[in-house]
Amino acid sequence: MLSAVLFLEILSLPLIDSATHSAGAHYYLKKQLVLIAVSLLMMGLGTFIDYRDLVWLSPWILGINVLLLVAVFFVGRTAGGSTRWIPLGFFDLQPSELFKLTAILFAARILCSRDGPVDSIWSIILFYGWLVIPAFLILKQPDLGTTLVILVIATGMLYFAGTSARSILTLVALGGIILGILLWLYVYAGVPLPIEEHWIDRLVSGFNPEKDPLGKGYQVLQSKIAIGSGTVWGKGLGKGTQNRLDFIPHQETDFIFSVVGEELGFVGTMIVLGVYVLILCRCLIAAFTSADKEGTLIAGGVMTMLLFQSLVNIGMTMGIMPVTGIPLPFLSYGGTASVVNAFAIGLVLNVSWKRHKILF
Amino acid sequence: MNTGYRSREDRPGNLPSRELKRIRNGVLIVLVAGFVLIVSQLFNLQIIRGEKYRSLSEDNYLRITPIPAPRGEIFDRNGKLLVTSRPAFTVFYWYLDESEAEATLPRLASILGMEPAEIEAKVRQYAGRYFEPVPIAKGITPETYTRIVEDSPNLPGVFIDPQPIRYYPQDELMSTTIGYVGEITQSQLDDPGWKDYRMGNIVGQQGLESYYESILRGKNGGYRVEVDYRGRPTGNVGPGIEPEPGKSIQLEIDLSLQQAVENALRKTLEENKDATGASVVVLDVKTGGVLAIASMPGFDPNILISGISSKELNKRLTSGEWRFANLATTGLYPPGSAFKIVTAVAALAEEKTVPSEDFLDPGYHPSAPTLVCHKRGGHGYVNMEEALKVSCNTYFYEMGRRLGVDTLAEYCRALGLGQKTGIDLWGENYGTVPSTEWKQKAYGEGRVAQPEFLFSEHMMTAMGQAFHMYTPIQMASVTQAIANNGVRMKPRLAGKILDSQHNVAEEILPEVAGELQVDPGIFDIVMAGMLKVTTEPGGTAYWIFHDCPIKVGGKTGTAQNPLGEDHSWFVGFGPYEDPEIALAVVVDQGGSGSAVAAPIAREIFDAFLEFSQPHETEQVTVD
Repeated sequence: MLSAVLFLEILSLPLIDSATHSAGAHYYLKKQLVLIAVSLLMMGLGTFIDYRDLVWLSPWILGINVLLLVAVFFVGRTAGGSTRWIPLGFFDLQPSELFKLTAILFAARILCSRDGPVDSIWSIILFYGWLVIPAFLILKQPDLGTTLVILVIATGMLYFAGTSARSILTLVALGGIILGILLWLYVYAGVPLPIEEHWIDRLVSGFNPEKDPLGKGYQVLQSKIAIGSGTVWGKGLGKGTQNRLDFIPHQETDFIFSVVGEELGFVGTMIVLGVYVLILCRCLIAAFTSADKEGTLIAGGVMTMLLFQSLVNIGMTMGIMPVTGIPLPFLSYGGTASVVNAFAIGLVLNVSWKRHKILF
Repeated sequence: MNTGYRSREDRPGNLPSRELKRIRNGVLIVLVAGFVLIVSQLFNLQIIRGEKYRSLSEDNYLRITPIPAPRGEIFDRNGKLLVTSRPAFTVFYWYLDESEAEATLPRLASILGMEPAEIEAKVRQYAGRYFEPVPIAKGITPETYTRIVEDSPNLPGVFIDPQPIRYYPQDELMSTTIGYVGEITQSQLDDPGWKDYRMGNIVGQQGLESYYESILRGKNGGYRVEVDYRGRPTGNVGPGIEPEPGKSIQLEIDLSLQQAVENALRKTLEENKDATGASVVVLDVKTGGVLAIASMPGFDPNILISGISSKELNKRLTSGEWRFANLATTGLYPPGSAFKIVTAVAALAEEKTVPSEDFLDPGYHPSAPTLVCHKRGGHGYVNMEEALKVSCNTYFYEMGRRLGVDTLAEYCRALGLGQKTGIDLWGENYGTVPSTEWKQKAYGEGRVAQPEFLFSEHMMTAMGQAFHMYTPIQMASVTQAIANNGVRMKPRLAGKILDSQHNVAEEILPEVAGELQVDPGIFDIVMAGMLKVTTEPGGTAYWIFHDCPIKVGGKTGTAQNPLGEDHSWFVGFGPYEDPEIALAVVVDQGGSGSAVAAPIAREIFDAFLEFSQPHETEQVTVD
């Protein structure tokens, strides 16, 4: 798994460099190199810390993270219409990315605090209760994607904790109905809810970009052209015209997969997908062979996070998933996300090694 | 925070293995389903539709910046230049962004003396095509050039580049026939016939420039330019495609003769203030080649294409100083007495008379006393040749009575009247050949006049009045046919098509347009009558032609015009012994044919002698 992650991290170097050529002097390449170094350190840290201590400490982590999310509203840096980052001079911290990990740890703690699965509707609703405030804070940035990721992580961990599929599906259906009612209230009744108009536009245009090729559908259409034009072998690293000439907005972050598709072709995308499957399977194995429940839940939470993010991100670049600002783990450029993902992988490695320790 | 959680507490690591399997299977289903979906869409995009997306991506980033092909030139029959292209300083604007344009364009407009809105409209036409600079003004003066260069720091995006611009070295000469070029219009772009063209292309808009557009045009070359997502060139330029120069055209026109024709017309128009226009067609009798064609007033194409303001253009057009219409091929006139040559052919061919028949003209036609001759008291006894010579109306009324309008119409059509002659110009007019059927249609239900052909109308049509409407080129063509034993040649302006090295690429051969198969002796009689017009005292054009060095045949016409002054006609051919040229002269509201049109014809014949047969004249002097 370590090598799989390393493979993606190293692959991200030329991809990001090629996607950000216009910045000049390989600025992003250098930043990404530093980030990878930091990420590896964090991964190492993740493997050495006793993750059960982290779970134990998670209420404090949650508290700090919520404070950071609140702080974003006061000192946050704004880019692309949303305020998500706390500038630290050398580094812009993105508390919402951090919160993905925090959510895994704290959910693990709640789920470990009780025996047996959380299975009654009331206990499930109570389980989601602690998420309301941070989710609302993130949604207000606005950042629909991360909010969705966090809800999905929590739901996935419920499942890993033994909640039946039926309950989960009921829950998802219920969530869908509530969402539908909220949307209805917003669109037709004009109830002021924290909904951004463009979310709805993007959700719709993502599936049918040809309808408005120069407006809302532009990004997805150009991304589809990029991926499709890679055909079997791709145009070669750094030679993708869609990417190099900036036809795809955000090609170094959310739309990095279109660069993979264009420059490395079907062969490249298959290899990258294979590596993701490998990482996900390693997480799954770690979850099911963990020595303790915390390990199962952490590995399961990380797996849910990676699976959801990669499916939705890749799907969105090809027009089969709605466009939500969800980055592709390990490949997209993004400081906090890289470090958080690396640390998460470190924890999963830790979980799978702990099993061996028991053998000694 | 007391949640009953202890970090070091040993907790059973996992759920029962049956539970585990259930969870694992659930997760695997989601994982497999998700990845199958992704892989199938990747397969769809990259393998099945990969080629389509590859070409879409190329459309995205490759643009052709055109290199215009040099347009072909036009020469006269002796290789004298009539139309060419020359480099002219053209002001271009490369749109970079809006705020910059807002500052630059008004400044540029004031230097060029244009309205800022005018420039903005041009720039807007190129919206989204950043890879192409927008031509703003062509053929600027040296003063404007200097001002723009001096002000260049304040004019970002503005540059000056020499571009080929059409140049007409003879200025107004032959303007209505040669035509002019201009930017392709929106309605042309909408027409599928122009699908190879793009906005901003310079195309022939009238006359030969338009008729031979596909030959003169050549093939544009271009550079493949790589552009970024905003359409801005990245500086990477692909291989260029050299433009293919257009072919040139060598006309049958004789420049010297053409100049003589236009000088004569100009002089006439200056002297006759009532005359609104004049046109001439001179044809080669044997080949149908157009040796000269003029329609005046014309226009100055050099002024027109260098960007004349619409106000100035309107002023010139409404004052009558300029005129775009080519009267020689589109002007419709009643032919008047010039038509009598057609009646003469018909009457002889139908054996309604014999050349020796003397017919008494008492000054009016005995069956219709209101139809009078132009000579008070009449011409006395006249035969065919005599009747042509003096243009006796009564004689031709009688021929009309004997022929009837429908028989006459057959001969009109056989001589090419009422049809396009087929000259290589667009928009030629058909004219009107009157017949009973035609009148029934034209004056049928709901019209004021009677749809039946009146007795007097049968007679009047025979002398070219009553409903006939023909173009000057049709009458020239009729004369050419009569002088060529009834063989009518298709009038041709272009004789040869030349490649870019001016070698002959294609010869345009003479074509027979039609033949009137009657006894050739008939034409001899008509021609003899036409000769008398110019050579015998009493002939309507004798006083103009009596001292002409060559013998020419002619026929004058003074066509009544209900809208104003009479139209003045002369048709003729020469030399009489072996006709080489045939011509028609019309002065729109010029008055008498013998007084106005005939002198022009005389000048043309003189010029023909002087310029077109230098070798023969030389030989004569040597002998």
